[in-house]
This record gives sequence, structure tokens and C-alpha cells, in this order.
Amino acid sequence: MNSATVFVVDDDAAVRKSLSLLVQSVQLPVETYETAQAFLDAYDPSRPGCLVLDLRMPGVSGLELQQRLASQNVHLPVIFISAHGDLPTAVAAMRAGALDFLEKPFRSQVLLDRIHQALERDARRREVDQRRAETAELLTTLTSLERAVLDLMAAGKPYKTIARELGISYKAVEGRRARIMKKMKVDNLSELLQRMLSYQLAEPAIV
Amino acid sequence: MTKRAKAELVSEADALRLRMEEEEPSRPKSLQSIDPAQLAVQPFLHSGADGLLIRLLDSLPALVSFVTSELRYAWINQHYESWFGLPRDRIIGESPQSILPPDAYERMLSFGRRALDGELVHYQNTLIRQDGSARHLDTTYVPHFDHNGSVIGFLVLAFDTTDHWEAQERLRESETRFRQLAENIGEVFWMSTGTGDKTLYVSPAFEKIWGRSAEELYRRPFLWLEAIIPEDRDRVQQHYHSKCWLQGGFHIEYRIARPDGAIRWIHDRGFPVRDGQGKVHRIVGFAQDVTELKQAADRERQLLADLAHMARLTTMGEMASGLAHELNQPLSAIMNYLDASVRLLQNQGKAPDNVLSAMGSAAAEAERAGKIIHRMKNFLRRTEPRQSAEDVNQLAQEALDLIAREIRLSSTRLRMELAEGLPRVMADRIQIEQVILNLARNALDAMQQTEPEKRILTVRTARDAAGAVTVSVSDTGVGLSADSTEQLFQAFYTTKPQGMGMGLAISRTIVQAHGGKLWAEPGNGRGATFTFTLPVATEDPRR
Repeated sequence: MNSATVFVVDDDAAVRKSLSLLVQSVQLPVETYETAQAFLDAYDPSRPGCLVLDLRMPGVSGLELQQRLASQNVHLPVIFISAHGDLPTAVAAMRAGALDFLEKPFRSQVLLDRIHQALERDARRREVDQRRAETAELLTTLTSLERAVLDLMAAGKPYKTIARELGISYKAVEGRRARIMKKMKVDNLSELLQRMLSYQLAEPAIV
Repeated sequence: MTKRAKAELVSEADALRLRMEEEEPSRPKSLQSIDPAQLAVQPFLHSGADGLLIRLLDSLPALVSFVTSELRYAWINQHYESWFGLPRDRIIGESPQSILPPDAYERMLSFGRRALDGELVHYQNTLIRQDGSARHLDTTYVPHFDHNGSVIGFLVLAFDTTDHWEAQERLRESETRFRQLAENIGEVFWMSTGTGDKTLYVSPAFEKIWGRSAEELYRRPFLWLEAIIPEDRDRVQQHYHSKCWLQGGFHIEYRIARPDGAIRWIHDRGFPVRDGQGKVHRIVGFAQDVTELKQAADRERQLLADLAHMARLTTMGEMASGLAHELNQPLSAIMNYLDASVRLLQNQGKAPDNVLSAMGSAAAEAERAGKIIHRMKNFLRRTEPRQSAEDVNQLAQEALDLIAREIRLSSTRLRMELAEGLPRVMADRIQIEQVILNLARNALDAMQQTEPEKRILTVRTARDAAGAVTVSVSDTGVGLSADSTEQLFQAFYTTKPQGMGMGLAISRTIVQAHGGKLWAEPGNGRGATFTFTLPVATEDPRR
């Protein structure tokens, strides 16, 4: 598994190199790109990290890069840096989900703090994604009856009601429950419900 | 006439003829054949030096004849002959009745009778000649008495005054025309003596403009100078007394104070009129009330000054913004490098404290430099546009009025294609006019290499699909190369040797501050089109 990387995109070489050194000084991996296009060409969305992005660049601008990533469902956290600091663009960037907008020159500590926050956020999001993918995978191992029992359990129905609704015996419900827990690789009920809850929250509601 | 009298006349005439044949080899032909009727005049004609009087009368450019008491021509001079176009022998001895038109004869009879009664008669007469032309005659009848004191005829002396009379008539007409002109134009026509100490004429417009009566000016010739406001009076007086205008005339502008307190701007032109000796004997001139013109010019000047001021501010703001960007990049790098260095040294655990603290101070100073730039940028940042609901067609018209002269001088044709019924836009009038002005000036510059007859500047207003109002300025000039279209809008980008490269950058900044867009496209066939959009003004919230 890749370690989280700080991706820096800035057309100014001095800014790029100094940022690279700054990030390295806190023992974080860093990669720099001169243009947004070069980053888009090289970036593999499975790689964790965050993006430190200059706002105004020739060719594809920072704001455009942010939009393109979003449209490709890539949710890498973005910290904008700008030597211009024009307010309307900053507002647009924040609305589009940027973590922060720093006006050059900024205190290095502020940027490093934001980078740490961004990496944390990315890691958390990736973990949630990971868990959700796992859950989805495990759910495919259930039979349709097991899945029906699980859905009713996740909806908080008592076993008696589940048995009545599915037209099976109370004992059969209990037996299914044990198998479901084993298949879903959880040790207790609360763990199972937690996993289902986070899965359902991320998924569109099942109609 | 009695038999005896006639015999006397004949004998006298014979004697005369004999005398003249002896003494006057070149005597006038007219006396060679003498009619008895003529004899009545002989004593009169010969009362002076012999022959001299006849020669004198013959050479007079007047009609001279002697008419006897029997109303027969006894004698006529050469002018009489030629004036009527009849030879002398067709007239002498005849009655005027056969020579004059009936109405003239009637008048002759009535005035002639008075002459025969011994009265000196003078009258004016119009006579239609055989060729149909009407002639004016100033006629005098002088009664002629014999030794006994009885009238034997009268001398007719008539001057043809037609030409003089017509000249007088023409003069009267011309004066009437002049007065009609002088009294109906808005300008004041004036005339003074060569020394300027007396006003000879001033047209009625004077009373309207100066608010004073012409009578007052005739009474006090220097009233015109007194009416000038003190701030301008010395200048005018100096110019007037310098006499340097005596060569080409003067053109001077000054303000007058009317008795009602109103101030008017006057443009006064005067020139000297010289007499035959080259001496100035009249000064004539025109004075015009140019207050409205001045005010319009002032408004235009003010608008231009506003535009220039705004352009300067915007230029400085734009430059500050560009400069801030250029400086912030290296400052940012400096701070990053310093902080990174501090951390790297700390990581290795062997950095002397004083080095770390010096590096920290360097970073703080770099940060301070950044703040100074930030403050400068904010200080020079354009103020928020003062927006109000404006008619975009009017803005376009006003902006183009400002460069109407440049358009004309560059022999460019201007096409205004203004859409009707456009909604009002939210705009800072001055700023948007500046943008239109910038685009139009660029268009003119782009067409310098275009043949004059193909130079067309088109200004179009319309509404786009999204409902915004658009203004486009098109030229038939050098056009754009595709890759430079966006570069055009960058600060300090220019293709003009004298340009600073701020015009389009500023224009785009202005348009964007209005919530619109500005872009360039290649023109249709040749040239380029610059278009910008402006959002439509929303309904008045008070409604």
C-alpha cells in the first residue's frame, strides 16, 4: 500500500522546489508538477494524499483541475495557494470543496497544518471507502433469505416480527443470524449493525 | 410771332451765320441750316462769348433744349439728339408733341405753361423711351425773357438720373437686407468708429444677450468693456489696446455679467475696415453667446478627465496587482526555504540556536514584505464600481462621441447597430464607457494598415441567449492569430510600439467586476471582434 503523498502543482519553479523541501522537512513524501495537465496525466486515483494547488496557472487553472477531479469522482483534498488572492475565486474554490485557500506568502506552519489535516481527511475517507467496499463484498456471500433477515435486523425489527414477516420460524431467524455474523466477519451484533449503518449511510437508500 | 419779329430774327440769323463763317471755320454743324423758330434762342445762346456756350451745351451730358412760346423746339444739344435717337433736323421746329410720349407731353404742357408764365419750374419725370426702357429725368424749365420782359420761350435742362436712382434703390435694398440679417441672427453684429470710442451700430441681439439696451451702448461706447467680469476684463483690455489685432482682426473670448447677475460666455470677433488711405475708420465684428457650447465642451472635458482619472487608477491597481503577484512568488519561496531549512537543521539536532533564530527572523521579514505588498495592493485596488441601471446604447453613443474626431480623421466609417428595446444594465457609466473607448481605439489602431475605403468600425448591441446584454466592437484590421487571443488580455501585453499593454487587461477587469465576460474572436473574413456582456439590471427593489 502506498504511503500518503503531498502533490504540489505550481507553475513557479522556486515555489515548487521550496514547497517540496518544506514538505520533506516534515518527513512526508512529495511530488511536484509544473502544470495541472502534467498532474492529471500522472496521477493514479488510488494513491492517497492531498493536493497543494496554485490557483492561476497557464493552461488548465487550479480551479479547473479541481472541477475535473470532482467530475471523475476523485476526492483528493485540495489546498489552494495563490499569489493573487482574489476573493471571488477563493469563494468559488471553497464552495467546490477546497480545504483551504492560502494567500502567498503564507506561514509555512499554516500550510503544514493544513497538509496534515488534508492527509487525515483523505485517510479517513479512504478507510470509509475501504470498509464500504469490504461490506459490499461480504454482502454478496449472503443468500437472499440471509440478506432479507439482515435488512430487517438493520431496520431494528425484533426477531418475532422478522419471523412473521418472512414466514419462517423464530428459530430459523436465530440460526440465520449466527450464519450472517460469521459470513460478515463480526463478533457481535453491535459490530454488525455498525457495519450495516455505515454502509447504508454511504449507499443510496434501498427502496 | 409777328412778321416783323420774324424778319428781325432772320436778319439776325443771317448776320450770325456770316459772322461765324468768317470767324469760326470749325463751327458746329447744327447751326448750318437754321430754322426761323431757332432764332428765338439766338440772343440767349450768344449772350456769352461767341460759340463757346453752344459748344459747352453740346458737350453737357444732360438734355438741353430751347422751346419757344409757340411750343416748338428752337434748339437742342447733341445729347438731346442721341438720347431720343433722332437727328436734329427731325426735332428742331417741331412741337414736343411729336417727340414725347403723350403722358410726358401732358406734363410738359402743364409745367411749360408755368415756365411761360415766368416761373422757374423743377420736376421729376419718368419717361418711357421708344425702346421701352423707363428713364428718370430731373427736369428744370428756365423761362427766357426778351428785352421787354415778356417770355419768348424756356430753356429745358433735364438730367437723366436713372442710373443714380437705381443705384440708390439697390443701396436701399441692400441695406434692408443687411438689417433684416443683422436683426434676425442670434449673433450680435456691431460697428464702431476706428478709434472705438463710438458705437455706430449694434444689432438687436445685443439687448437679448447682454441684457442691456442698445441705447445705453450708443451713449456709453465702453459699456461692452465694463460688462466684462473683472477676471477677464484686463486680458481683453490689454489685447484690445495692444492693437496687434489691427492686422488680422481679433478673436477673443470673455465672460460678461448681465444686470440680472447671469454670466454669459461671449466669443467676439472683430476686424478693422480701412479707408482709401489705409487708415482704420471702422471696426466691425460679430459677438456670439457661446455659453451653451462652452458648457457642453466643459462637460465633455470633465467626462474625459474622469475617464483618464479612472484609467490611471485602474492602471495602477492593475499594475499593483501584477507586481504583487510577481513579488509574492519569490517571497513565498523564501519563506518556504527558510522554514524547511530550520526544520531540517532541527531534525539533525545540531543547529546552533542563534542560527535558527536568525533564520526565523529572515522568514518573519519576508512575511513582513508580503504584508506591505498586500497593503499596497489593497490601497490601490479599484473602488467598487458605482453601478446604476444604464441604457447600454446611450453608453455606446457617448463613448463614441468622445472619439468621433479620431474616427473621422482616420477616414473610418462608423456603423452603429444598436438593438432596440434592450433592458437596462447594471453598470458604472464611466467604467463601461472606458471599456468601449478602449475597444474602439484598439479597433482604429488595428486598421492603420487597412485601405481607407475598407476601414469600418462596427459597434453592435444585442441580447444573448442567456439574456445578458452584449456589446461588440468589430474592425476590419489586421485580425488576431488564434494562439494570441488569450494573451491579449494579459497585463503588459502589447503589439503597439507606444502601447503599455494595459488596455485590454483593464477592460477585462472592469467587465469582470461587473459580472460580465470579455472575449475576442476573429472577424468575419478580416479583422477582429471584441465582445463583452453585462448582466441585466434587476427590477427596482422598491417596487
